[in-house]
Amino acid sequence: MPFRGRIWLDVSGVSPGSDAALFAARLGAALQRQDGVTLTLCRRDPALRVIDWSALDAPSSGPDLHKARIAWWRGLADRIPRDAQMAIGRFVRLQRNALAARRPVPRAVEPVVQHATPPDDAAIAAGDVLMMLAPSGNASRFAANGVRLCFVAVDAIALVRPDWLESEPAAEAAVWLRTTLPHVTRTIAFAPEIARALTGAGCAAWLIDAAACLGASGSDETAFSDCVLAAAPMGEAGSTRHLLLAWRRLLDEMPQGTVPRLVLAGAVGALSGDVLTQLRNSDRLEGCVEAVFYPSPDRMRALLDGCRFCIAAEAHDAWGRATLDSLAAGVPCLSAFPANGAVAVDPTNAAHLADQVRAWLADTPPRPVAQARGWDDVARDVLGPLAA
Amino acid sequence: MSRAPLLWVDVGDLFGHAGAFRRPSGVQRVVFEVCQALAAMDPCGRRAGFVRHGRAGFVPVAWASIAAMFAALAEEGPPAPAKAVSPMRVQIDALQALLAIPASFRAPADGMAASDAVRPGDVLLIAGAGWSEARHVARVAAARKRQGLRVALLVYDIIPLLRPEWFDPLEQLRFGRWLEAMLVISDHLLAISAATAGDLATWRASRGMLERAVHVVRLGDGFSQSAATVPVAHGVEGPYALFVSTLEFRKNHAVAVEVWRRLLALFGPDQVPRLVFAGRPGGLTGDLMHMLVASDFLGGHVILRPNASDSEIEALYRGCAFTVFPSHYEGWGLPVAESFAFGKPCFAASTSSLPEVGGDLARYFDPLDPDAAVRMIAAVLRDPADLAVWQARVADEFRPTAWCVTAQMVLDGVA
Repeated sequence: MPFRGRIWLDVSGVSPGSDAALFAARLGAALQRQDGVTLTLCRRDPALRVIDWSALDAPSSGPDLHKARIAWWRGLADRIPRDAQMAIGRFVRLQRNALAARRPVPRAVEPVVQHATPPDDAAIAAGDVLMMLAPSGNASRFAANGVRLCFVAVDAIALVRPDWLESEPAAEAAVWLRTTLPHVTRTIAFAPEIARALTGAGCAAWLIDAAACLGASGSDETAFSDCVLAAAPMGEAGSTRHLLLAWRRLLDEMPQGTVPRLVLAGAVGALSGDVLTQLRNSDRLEGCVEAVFYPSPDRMRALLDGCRFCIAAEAHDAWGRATLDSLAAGVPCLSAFPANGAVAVDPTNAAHLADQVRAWLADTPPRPVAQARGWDDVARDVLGPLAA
Repeated sequence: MSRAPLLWVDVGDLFGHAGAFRRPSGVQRVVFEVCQALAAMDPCGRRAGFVRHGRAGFVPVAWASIAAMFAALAEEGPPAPAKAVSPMRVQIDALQALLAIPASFRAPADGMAASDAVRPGDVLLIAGAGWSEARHVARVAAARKRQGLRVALLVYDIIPLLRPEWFDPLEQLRFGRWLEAMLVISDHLLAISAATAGDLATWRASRGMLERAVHVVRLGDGFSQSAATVPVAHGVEGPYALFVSTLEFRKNHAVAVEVWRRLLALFGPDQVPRLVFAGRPGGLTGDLMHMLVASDFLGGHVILRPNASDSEIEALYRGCAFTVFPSHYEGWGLPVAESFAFGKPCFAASTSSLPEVGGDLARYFDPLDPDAAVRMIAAVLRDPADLAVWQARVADEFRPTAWCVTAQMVLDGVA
């Protein structure tokens, strides 16, 4: 008997434009298409609020350097003591919400609170499912009201490498693990590593495969021909530091003109300030590296169509967007967590990365066979554990 | 009265550094040690002397004033705030360097009188960080022209040109312009390692410059004892490994942390020695510092000593089980030699000049390969007898190079 009822897809802690936001958009759309399912996108702030799907979009459509500046500011803000950070962050968020709601922008936090729209906590009823996509904040009060808490884990970073998170998300994740995880009744993992991490945290998980997010071929998106595509968030979790070191080694050791361009494609992730500075300092390793921030599915398709092969460089695999996309496009893929034809590589070991890339440049690997799995299949699989 | 040509060591950088910073860096220490060795070898000043730039070009400086200045710089004591160079000053210096403002527009270094002790045919040794000084090249070129000096340049490394990603673009520009100009006006080229000499030759060839002989000077091992010789406690409980260096991206502290994380996963916290970083945080380590703080310094297994004095560093060397130096790129690699000088084995990166320093006494790993480092360090953790044998071999076989040997090599190189 498939699940029927109301699902609140909670994207608290999901950064706009990130792979997790893309996952939420795809899964949400597919769940809405399922019979008997009513889906509402929401965020806890900390009260539950209904939000628009556009809240998942990338931060802006400005020039790429703009995103790098954002990362720089993030890095700078991260040096501020955490208490002050939280207060400032909350103040800014409230101001932003006020602007978005076209209310007068107040000058202090308290007036903002007074003018805020009433929370939607009351709208969520016993028996509804609160489906959380990221460990963030305290949601245990909903369980006390008979709401079923479901955790759809698309990322294991908070569990395995919390030091790779910025201070505020790390603090929010710690609160969630302590207060909310014990009340979660259904846990779904989208990668074996996530399932293992959840098991380690005392929470057995259903393991489900995700699907690719590729756009269609032939769009007018800009691509780079004959490049190597590294698809992952920029920053420590995306192994950007190791990729740059590996490319520098290739540039040092291979004959001039034989090293293809490396295209880094992904959201600006946590701990990316130092690598972005290195890119700027070296004028993108003397022009051998390009950075594409927040690639859309169409852009990703164009990048994959133009590349020799793809490196899915996330050290702790999230739901595997890069691997799934490259395999769906029939592009050979080096991945930290190989499946369905991808080849294993340790992206945190720049020496191995360089060796593997050199080997694939010398001897082009065979193209994998694309897997046929759609987001409706994913949605049906997700509803299975909810019905159980 | 005629005399043999003298070697004049430019010590302006030492005084400039002392005016801005609380502690000497590696370059200043090397310059001081070479000067000290020259002063000891030649107390009457028949072969070498010291100069800094003044109103009348390069003028002699007494050894006593250099020694006093350096003693104050290296003085032990409670940390005092550094006399930071203001950002405005840096900008002004950079602008002056770029616009090449004539020296006459700028204040002289000090009020010393002109001296005729510097004579045509003498050699001016540039061994300091001249690129950080505005108009340095112009001063040297003027001295070459007006005072008839021959110029010898000691090159430490050319890393800003080979790895620009680790340096601010302005720093790259200053260093590149300075080096290119200095190479043109230098009569003698010295390098602190064969690796640096090789880098220099390759870089010159890539710029279409003619091939020139580069005299390799072997640096001395270890530095002079500081004035305060009272033994201090290092204050680290239990066994530990030591990594002495400024925390900067190039030095690859990130791989050391990653290696320790993996060792802790392999052996558990009780079996893994602590890792002590002795050095202050520097460039491009903001993300690393965030990770360290967020992981509570790997549960207390990484210890940071940002303001360790010379005595404390000495105590840390004496008390450590072994040292690590996984630097991505070096011109020489003093911490490896220092480690051996204290009889401690060293796990070092296999790149650039480090194998020259470590010879067959160090154990090497690829600095990009944390797995290789984990395997090597895990082996000695599993087999302490192996570490003891290695340590005995280091103590037995390491022959430190005295700074007077370095000084003699400099004299030979400019002869």
